[in-house]
Amino acid sequence: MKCHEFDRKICGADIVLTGNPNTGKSCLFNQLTTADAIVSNYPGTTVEILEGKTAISNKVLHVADLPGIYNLGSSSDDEKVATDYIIERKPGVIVNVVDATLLERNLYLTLQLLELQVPMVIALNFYEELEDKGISIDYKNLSTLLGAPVIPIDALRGAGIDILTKTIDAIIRGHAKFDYYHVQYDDHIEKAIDKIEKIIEEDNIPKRAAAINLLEEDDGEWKKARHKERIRSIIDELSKEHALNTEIARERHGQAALIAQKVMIMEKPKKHFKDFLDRFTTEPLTGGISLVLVMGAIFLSLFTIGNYLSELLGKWFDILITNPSAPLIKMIPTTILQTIFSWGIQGVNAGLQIALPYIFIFYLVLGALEDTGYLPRMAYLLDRLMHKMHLHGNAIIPMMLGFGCSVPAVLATRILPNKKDRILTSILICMIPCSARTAVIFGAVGKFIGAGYALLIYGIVLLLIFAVGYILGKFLPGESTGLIMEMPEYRLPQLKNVLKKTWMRVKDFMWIAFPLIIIGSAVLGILKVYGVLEVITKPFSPIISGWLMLPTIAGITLIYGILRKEMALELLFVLGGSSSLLKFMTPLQIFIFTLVVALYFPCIGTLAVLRHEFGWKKSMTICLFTIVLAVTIGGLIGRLFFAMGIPK
Amino acid sequence: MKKEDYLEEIYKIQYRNNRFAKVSELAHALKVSDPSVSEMIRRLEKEKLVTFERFGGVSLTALGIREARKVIRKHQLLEVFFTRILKIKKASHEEAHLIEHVLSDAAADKLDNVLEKPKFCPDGNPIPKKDSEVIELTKLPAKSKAEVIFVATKNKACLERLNSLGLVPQAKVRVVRKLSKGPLILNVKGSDIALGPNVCATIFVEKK
Ligand SMILES: Nc1nc2c(ncn2[C@@H]2O[C@H](COP(=O)(O)OP(=O)(O)OP(=O)(O)O)[C@@H](O)[C@H]2O)c(=O)[nH]1
Ligand SMILES: [Mg+2]
Repeated sequence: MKCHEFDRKICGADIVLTGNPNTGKSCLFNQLTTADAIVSNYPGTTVEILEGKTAISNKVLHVADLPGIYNLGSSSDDEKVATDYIIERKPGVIVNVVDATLLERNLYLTLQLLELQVPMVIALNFYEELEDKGISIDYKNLSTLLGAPVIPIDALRGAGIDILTKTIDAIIRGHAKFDYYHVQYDDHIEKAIDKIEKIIEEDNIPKRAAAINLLEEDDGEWKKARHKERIRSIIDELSKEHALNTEIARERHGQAALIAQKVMIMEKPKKHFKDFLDRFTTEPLTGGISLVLVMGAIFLSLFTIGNYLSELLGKWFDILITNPSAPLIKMIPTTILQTIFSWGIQGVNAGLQIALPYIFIFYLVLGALEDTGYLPRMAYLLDRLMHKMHLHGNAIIPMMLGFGCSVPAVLATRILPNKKDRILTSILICMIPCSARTAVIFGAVGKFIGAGYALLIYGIVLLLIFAVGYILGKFLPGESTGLIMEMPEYRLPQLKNVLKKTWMRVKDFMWIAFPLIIIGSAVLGILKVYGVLEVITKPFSPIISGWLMLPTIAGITLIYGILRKEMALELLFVLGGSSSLLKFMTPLQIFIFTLVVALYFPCIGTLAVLRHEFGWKKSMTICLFTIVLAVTIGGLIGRLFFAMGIPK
Repeated sequence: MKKEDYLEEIYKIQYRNNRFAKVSELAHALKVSDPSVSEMIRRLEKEKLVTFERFGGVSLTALGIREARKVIRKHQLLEVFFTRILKIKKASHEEAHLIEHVLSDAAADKLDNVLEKPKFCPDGNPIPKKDSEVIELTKLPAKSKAEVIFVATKNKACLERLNSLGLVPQAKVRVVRKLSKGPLILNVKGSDIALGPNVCATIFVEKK
């Protein structure tokens, strides 16, 4: 995830990739450009517009990758973003990426796009999977029927891309002429279209398409429309007898089915292991078992491999850097420089030992999980549980991404169909232990107290999330749409893609987190030498040492944690002056500290994305809420555990 | 106005519009006053034929749909009879409307046989089959097939999504997987779609 992609200025593109969700648009985008769009096997991976450049016959063209959509409309925020882009920005060429294995359903959007009368190419993706499914498609005939070029491609391995770019080139040069397939609606609808077309003035899409959009009650089109009353009266008259929305949809589906029948031959598909896997993971009993297994495997891999890597890195860092540099630092004449250097090195050491291994392993596992297609199954299995939090299964996907990083997770809530679900899910995401917080949980509690207590932190946090959802869901206004989500095919994760995603997600950590740790440690060092540290920590000490029963130095690290969560722990090591927390904190203190870090303030990056999506007022309220919650729960649990005499 | 007329009218409005029927709309269509519509709705509600929400309107229950379809079937068969056999075109609707209430089920079946089981009425609408089992999608067991009759939802975003996925009237669907009281996975146009229970409750289907 590039930082703050959501703030990027959008400039309009020559080539726009659009199509149903999960049809391989981002995969094709990566093939065409040098950009790195995240590719995963679930609908709704891309939720914002990505732009890149490609060179076709020595010309530089802008390419845009859009969120996947089922139709041009605004039933969710990601759909709205994509639809607005297509309609407002007049692309030079639309590349409609179509899943060949689901031709009929995909053609629905294709027919709607053709109504826009923009130069268009249809990229028939997953073409190589057809044989396995016993389907054959006469793509040349499809091209004749639709009146637009159809190019079979395999976006994953790059087959057919050259022909696709040649076709795009020909269109851009204006060599290709089109006479598109034209959906003929029922008489009464056609008559209404005629009438409305006459009323509509200028529009950036053809009048016929605009008229159809109005008949379908498209919010975007209605906002722009002039002479609203006259159009409304035509539509209202017709609506007395007809469900325009549904009738138009039915007609388009009907014609899509006819076209598909003409070009497709279907035989019996071969049986596959993935069919068995699909059944196993979605049947009531085995589905539950597999869910527990998957979650257990994630936890276990973090605990075992993460711990192992952490120790390995720590050992080598001592041998290669800390030990050789110690005598050198002693030779530095001023204490202030000495402190800056030694604290800076300790900061890097802490970063390497604590954050990197756990974050890296987690993203590796998440990346693989995303590519299998398991996440939508989780949404299905957990739908009922989510109802208790007044949400639906579809909120599971953003929440799972939240275990990685809250920023893309909050953006991913765009796939949810209404504001209430989006806000509530975002609040819960702020409380979910992201990979940085996981690093703190494993690096502090897991390493120094034990796996059981690490699990307990997750237990407490998840319980709190449940409680907050349960209570808040009751009071937040707004109606809620239910779960409607396509289940993708199971696919084997591609090692290259998983590694690429992991790198893209941890590289921020390298470029931003490490410099921050070094600077942060150095600043702390200076403050300490000049005795300012005590002055700063003093006002917080009633809360930090009084209520939370933590050492005063913990307070200052919590402030740093606002920048990045894992910094709180890293600087604790630096300030404590030891790579073992137990030297200066009791197990109970470690536990409380970790719990507070896990719950309070969702870091500066998350605040920025919350503000971008929901505005200042809501985002600040969410942050304040988490701080109050963290301090309250931290103190309460601390006292309870103290009374019980755990952890020893 | 008879109970059947109300059921028939609500069905027509829902079938046409994929939404709830409003009281005023019914009053207008049946040419009666709002209060008498409200009174009848209360009666139908007691008989579990409809559900009523003050701000939403009336919606048929699965039982209500079955009753409505029985009447509509009689009506449409009579229409076919009038136009095809008696060659009465203009007044066939009004005539059928009068007779449908007194035509017995057995007579309707005989009529169906005589007309050689017509599939469509003169207006081109599909005629419901005898004993067609209409239920909410929630009640459809795993592995069974069905045809969508209509979607009764007030949620525009939900309707739009279902429309674009192909869950429109007369769409053929199959339940692939189902959790008890929970969501199910439905095969529509070759793709598997998970639907939550509250979405399923708004979709009425005819079991095949
Ligand atoms: N076998 C095969 N897999 C493909 C092909 N193209 C894409 N995929 C896989 O399909 C999945 C979806 O690809 P994406 O590129 O993320 O799809 P998208 O259209 O961008 O999806 P959204 O952003 O969710 O709309 C990934 O798991 C890809 O690896 C292909 O041609 N063949
Ligand atoms: Mg994408």
